[in-house]
Amino acid sequence: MGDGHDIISAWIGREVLPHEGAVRSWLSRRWRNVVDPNDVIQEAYCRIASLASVDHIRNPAAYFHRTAHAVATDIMRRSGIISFTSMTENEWLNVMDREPLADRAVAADQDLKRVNGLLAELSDTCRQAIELRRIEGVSQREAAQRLGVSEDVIRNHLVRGVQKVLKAIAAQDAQAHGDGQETVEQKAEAIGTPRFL
Amino acid sequence: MAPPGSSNSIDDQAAHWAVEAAYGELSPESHAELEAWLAEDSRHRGAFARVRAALHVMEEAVVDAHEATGPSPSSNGDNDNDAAHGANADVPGPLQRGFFRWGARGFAAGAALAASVAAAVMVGVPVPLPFGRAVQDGAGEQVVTLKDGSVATLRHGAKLEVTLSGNFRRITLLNGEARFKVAKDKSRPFVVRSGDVYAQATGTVYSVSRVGLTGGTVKVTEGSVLVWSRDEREQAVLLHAGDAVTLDLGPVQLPAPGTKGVPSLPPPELAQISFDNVPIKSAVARFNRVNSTKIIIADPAIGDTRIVGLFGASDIEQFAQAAAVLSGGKVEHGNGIIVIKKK
Repeated sequence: MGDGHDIISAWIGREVLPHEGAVRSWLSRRWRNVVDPNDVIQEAYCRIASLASVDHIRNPAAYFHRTAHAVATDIMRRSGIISFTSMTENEWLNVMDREPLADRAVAADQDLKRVNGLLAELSDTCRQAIELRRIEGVSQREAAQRLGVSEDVIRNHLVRGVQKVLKAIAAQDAQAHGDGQETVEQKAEAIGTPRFL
Repeated sequence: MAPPGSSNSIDDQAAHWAVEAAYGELSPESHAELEAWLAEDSRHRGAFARVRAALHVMEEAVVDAHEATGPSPSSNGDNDNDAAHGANADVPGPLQRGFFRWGARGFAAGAALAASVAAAVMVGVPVPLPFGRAVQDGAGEQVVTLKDGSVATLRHGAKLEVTLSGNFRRITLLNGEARFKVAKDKSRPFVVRSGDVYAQATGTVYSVSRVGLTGGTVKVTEGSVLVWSRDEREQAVLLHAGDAVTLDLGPVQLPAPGTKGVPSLPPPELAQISFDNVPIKSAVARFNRVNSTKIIIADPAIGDTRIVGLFGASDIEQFAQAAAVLSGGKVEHGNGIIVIKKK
């Protein structure tokens, strides 16, 4: 897990994770009884994480959606379900790609606020452990000594922290995107000419 | 054995493993166990990648908050200088900074350092006097006209190295930020280098700012600019007016800084193929038209998958890999052919 992985990881955190809620709600709205949204999301992350480079991806949201779409189609094909994707694809693309950039910028700004708000929710131990590790570069053992807790305690705080972050990020978009394309398209109209990436 | 802090959902297991891998000291046994767990199921790998991404977000947030509030003795002076020169306005927020954490910090410090030195311009080898005139305005900006007619506006103590020759114009941004109004000259591409990031145009308006030791931010105001990092020109991204990109691969792979001899530039004209939501089969047809190596799609489902991206026209291998990853297939090589098939 070298630098390449870290760059991809960071890129996923910044560009892909914030769209998970939208993808998940679309998956469960349309395909709930056909595929398990969790399976699709995990498989999609697996494919994205295996990319050697993300430089060619200019629209990460669209890329994520398309990957999820491809995964869902694959799962259905594998399990012998007749594909009805051609029917849903247009609608899908309308929803995802016509969202104006300005709106995405606003969404990103909201993400930022949410993550910053989330900081307040992280336990002191979690924050201190991160600071010790990432700023001072001390080992887990030393961090435990300095904080006066066991390494297990630190681990648990970190795990809970990252789970809270995931929850916050995954939950946010389902909320922000409301319940469907009408919302998004109305937004697009309100803001101006849709822009393709 | 169950992973550390065992629990049953894949996401929970992934969270434990990711934290353990990032913070604990994995014994060889646990490492092997993690590898086995990852190898077991693509969903494990996906969940793991997802948690790692969230871990990044969390660490960024904590470290940035620490930097914003924590009084770090060495940075007091820097902050003053930054404020005086308005550099703060250009430092992006914590998340936009994203994975350029270290780079971004270096950028702030670099801008501050440069501020104490007056905006200086160094002259590259072939042309001893690149400037027609230099004007300093009140806002600490310096406007210089290069010999080819291009205009550079230097900010935040920007330092440039300018080399103009018969077949290229090469500018190295050593510090700060510079905005370029590039004189049209198709025969001499205008390439600005910031660390390991390159931006090329033939006639346009764009700005480049240093990010850390190796990175740069490129913003395009008019026309379009080709941006790439290090030797990955084949994977260049084409930016249009209004676009911006920040690249910083970090200093790790950097050879000793300052030991660059004459950086050799690849040939200027580069054919690229861009796909915006095109079925892979159509994309393949375009690649096959211009390459002697041919791609064959072994499964119609792969051909129908849609792809987005910008690829070097000759980089058929990279395209095939990306298409295979996207469609969940794999690549096999034959005699002058590349086959994309189902796993």
